[in-house]
Amino acid sequence: MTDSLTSQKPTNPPAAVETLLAVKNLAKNYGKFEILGDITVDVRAGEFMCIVGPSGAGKTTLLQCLSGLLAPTAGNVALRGVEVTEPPAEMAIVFQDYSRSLMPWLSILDNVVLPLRSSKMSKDEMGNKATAALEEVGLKGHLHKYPWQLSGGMQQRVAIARALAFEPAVVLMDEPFASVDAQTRSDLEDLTLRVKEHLGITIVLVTHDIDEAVYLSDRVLVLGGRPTQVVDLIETNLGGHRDQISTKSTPEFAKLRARVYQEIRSQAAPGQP
Amino acid sequence: MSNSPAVTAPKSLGSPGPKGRRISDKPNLGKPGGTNSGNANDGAGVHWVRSLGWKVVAIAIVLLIWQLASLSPLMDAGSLPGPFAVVGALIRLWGTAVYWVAIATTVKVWFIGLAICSVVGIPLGLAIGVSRGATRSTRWVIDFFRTIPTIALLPLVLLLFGPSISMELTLIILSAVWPLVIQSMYAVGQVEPVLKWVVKVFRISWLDRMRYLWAPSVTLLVTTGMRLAATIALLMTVSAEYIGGAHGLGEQLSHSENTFQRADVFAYALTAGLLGLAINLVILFLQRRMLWWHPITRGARA
Ligand SMILES: Nc1ncnc2c1ncn2[C@@H]1O[C@H](COP(=O)(O)OP(=O)(O)OP(=O)(O)O)[C@@H](O)[C@H]1O
Ligand SMILES: [Mg+2]
Repeated sequence: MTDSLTSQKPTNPPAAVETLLAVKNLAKNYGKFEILGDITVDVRAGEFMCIVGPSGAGKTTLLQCLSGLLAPTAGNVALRGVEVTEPPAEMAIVFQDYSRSLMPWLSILDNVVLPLRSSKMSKDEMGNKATAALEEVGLKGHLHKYPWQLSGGMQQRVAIARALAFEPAVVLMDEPFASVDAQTRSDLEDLTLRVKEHLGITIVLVTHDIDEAVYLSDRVLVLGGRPTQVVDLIETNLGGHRDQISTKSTPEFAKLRARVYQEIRSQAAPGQP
Repeated sequence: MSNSPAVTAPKSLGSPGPKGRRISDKPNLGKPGGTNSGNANDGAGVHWVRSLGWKVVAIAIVLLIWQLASLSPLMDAGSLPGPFAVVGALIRLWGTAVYWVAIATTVKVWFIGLAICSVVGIPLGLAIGVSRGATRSTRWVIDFFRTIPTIALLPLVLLLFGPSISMELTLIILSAVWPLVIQSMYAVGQVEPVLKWVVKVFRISWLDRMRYLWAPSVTLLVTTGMRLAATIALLMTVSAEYIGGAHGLGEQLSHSENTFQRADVFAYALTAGLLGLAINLVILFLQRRMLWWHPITRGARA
């Protein structure tokens, strides 16, 4: 792994890239409203892809189609070549609304254990796996607390731990850090980058925050237009080791940031009433 | 902090509710102030004492007005017994078997009636609530039946069953099943949509969805329906005894009336009132125990 900040061209040989999630000519209408136009994109195994786009573009809709929670109007989504029609076993989601996505009547540990109960694991194994995941996100000392006894950032870490313990190949996140304060947000970003490296999973993350998108991504998917289409798919080439201060102060970062910003603004302007 | 999560996790998962809390209470608390639940209870305790104070004041005022009214020259002497006479009668009745048998009979019938209402009303309400079509199509029917004053059906039911338990149960069910059906219907809508997605995405089994998502989510409204139904059922039980002549508190009330023992009439009425109050408090207590995790029980939002 070389951190080639200087070479802007993608250096990876195309043949070596494995496609994990293939989105093909995906369209979604709500009634007569065409939300998603014709979206085709491949998510590579092991990559971190962020999706940005104007509000109401259909990012959440796209994520729900990716996860099989919502059936597309046209086109399809395939995970390792198998069409997604219901939430696949290899996929987990971190929802934006941490306060609603955890069960207040279950302890932190039990919230993480619950999804494991349909597996063939023994109870000890489940407990160990859940504890390990909670340790991974730095919540070892809080196993027996309840979600409402934790701060927002901690609750979102529980949701991340729940997704990790599920041992998915791909984690979808819909604006996971949108409702926490700035400091917690950058902590969670770095946490997410770290566990992704550590566990070798693939992450697709929707965000409103352009800095966040560029900082986290291997590739940024910019959506826009009406109905929504792929505007750009940008390889960031920022290297494997990212740091809130040094990465964000590189000229490459600034350039990427400006590019995404302009692309979104040019898309948003005509559509907004 | 010693935790053996490998063991505690599945155990507490097996028993959501107060037990879950008890398990967590042991290892959890190096924190100042103990658990949040402990704090919530302390705050509620102070509040409870204060509100109790006001309740006592309110009761005292009612008693005072009652005493004054009974002494008032506007009343025929002795037609309205004062509170002292009634308490005297009550204390005398406590020494009689008739009194306790009447209470036991009433409570027994009330309990059987409420149990039948629950067994029928809760599943029916939940089933209707799950289907949007069923909710819409049954709305008029339910509104129609629940607004029929059941007491008006008493002569008819009495004719069919005589002054029996069947007569009482019929009246209880006809009047008390509706709040359970309706609250259970609404309870289904209380399930958090994000959690419905969560259980789908994490492929949680049907049984676990029932236990860990649906059951806790509907508890608040179902138990509220229970409380409403319990009050109505008690009212109907006593009324059916009073008018229909089945055994119990209502029958004793009617009997005292016919024998012009006015203080006893009031003593029995007071007993029925206290019974209703006690039932309500017990259900409230159970509800709070089951919903220990709920923002309502915890007090302020954490
Ligand atoms: N269930 C639905 N029925 C009808 N229209 C819907 C539904 N869900 C979303 N929409 C519409 O589809 C469009 C896209 O919604 P979506 O939530 O996917 O956007 P988004 O990009 O996630 O927006 P945001 O950035 O604000 O979260 C919006 O115009 C929304 O009004
Ligand atoms: Mg959205």
